[in-house]
Amino acid sequence: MDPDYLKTNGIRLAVALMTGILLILSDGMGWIDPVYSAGNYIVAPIAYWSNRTVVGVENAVGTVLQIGTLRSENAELVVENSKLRAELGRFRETERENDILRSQLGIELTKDWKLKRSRILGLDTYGIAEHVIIDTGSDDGVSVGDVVILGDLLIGEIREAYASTSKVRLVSNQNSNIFVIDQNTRAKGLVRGSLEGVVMEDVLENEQLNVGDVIITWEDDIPGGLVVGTVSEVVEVPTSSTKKAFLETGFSLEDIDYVFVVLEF
Amino acid sequence: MRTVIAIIAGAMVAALLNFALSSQDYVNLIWVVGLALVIADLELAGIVFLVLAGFLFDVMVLGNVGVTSVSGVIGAGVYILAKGSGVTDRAWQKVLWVLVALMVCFGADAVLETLLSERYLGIDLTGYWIRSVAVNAVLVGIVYSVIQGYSRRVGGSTSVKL
Repeated sequence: MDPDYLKTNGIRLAVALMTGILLILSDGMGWIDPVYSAGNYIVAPIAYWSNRTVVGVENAVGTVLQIGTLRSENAELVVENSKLRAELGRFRETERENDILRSQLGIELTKDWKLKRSRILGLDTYGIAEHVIIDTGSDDGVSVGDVVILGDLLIGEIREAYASTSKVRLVSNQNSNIFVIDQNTRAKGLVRGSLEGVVMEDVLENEQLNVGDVIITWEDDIPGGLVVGTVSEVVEVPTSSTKKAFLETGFSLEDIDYVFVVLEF
Repeated sequence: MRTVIAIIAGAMVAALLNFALSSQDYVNLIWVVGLALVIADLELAGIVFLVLAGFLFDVMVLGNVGVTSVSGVIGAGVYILAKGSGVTDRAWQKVLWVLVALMVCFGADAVLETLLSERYLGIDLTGYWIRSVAVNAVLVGIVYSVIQGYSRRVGGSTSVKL
């Protein structure tokens, strides 16, 4: 036992703890918000490139390690690609027919949303993809509640908007509750995140969910028809009146540089 | 003065790297470096580093400022308590207490995050913590070896001149 050592460092630890607690309280009072904005404005470019470098190194190493399986995967993808090309041809034909019908009925497309392109600065820590930080904030017209998309894919929702940056709560967040509908069977449910992945819950027992079905948004607060994911596994519990399904979102945030904030829809 | 500049610069670099590493699971570079400094008899530098780097990192991730600092300081406090009690003299004891300190860091972080944002409510993170503690303990060993090597090369003593 060394009382002097413990006394000296005990005082240091106590001061450090008090400083930390003061920081937590300041954050709770909102006094840190200007620091958030200024700090992110300064470090955003460095953070972005250091993040991209780490992801790039990981991808390069991963590619080398997976080179054996990549060849067989490539062969499978070539076959799948040819099938998709054929399907695309059919969709184009359907699209053309829709255009003709729409012009005959006098209906115009209304998907002229006001979007703001945003760069992803970093992912959430702790291995649970819950938030990302983007480089647009209230100065760009972004506000809390705005939806973040990539093409027709729903990425998440703005939960905190600072001057030049914003925090996006991802679909995979355990606190997200998004009303969704199965595009094929019209089964309705709620989507949220979990440790096992994105899950669609509270689907009534008598409604049908099939692997491969596309799940889209279905509520008033956010644009409808945005793709949340495809069903990868259906879980039915005999004793429960509801069932759930795990979804594949079809994208990896680490491979995405930009997303779009829907300012108006 | 040189020491202060070194700590500030080190804290900024560690916070930035930790931010970049946040897309990779398990690693918390701030706790790793802070603990390594404490083990290398640089307690004051370690504590200041933990507070400063933790603050910078939390500002970058836009959330719960102070949590990383407080968790790291509590973890370092456990190691300092063990060190002051004389139970970290042997190598295996050092390893054991590094593991305990890192577990305390993750535990304190989870408690604080839960209190502030309900982040961990209902989630079983046992497996994640075990992997994280193991990975970070190895990194503490590596950083500690680097500090010791630098110390021998520069000062010829067990203390490091930052």
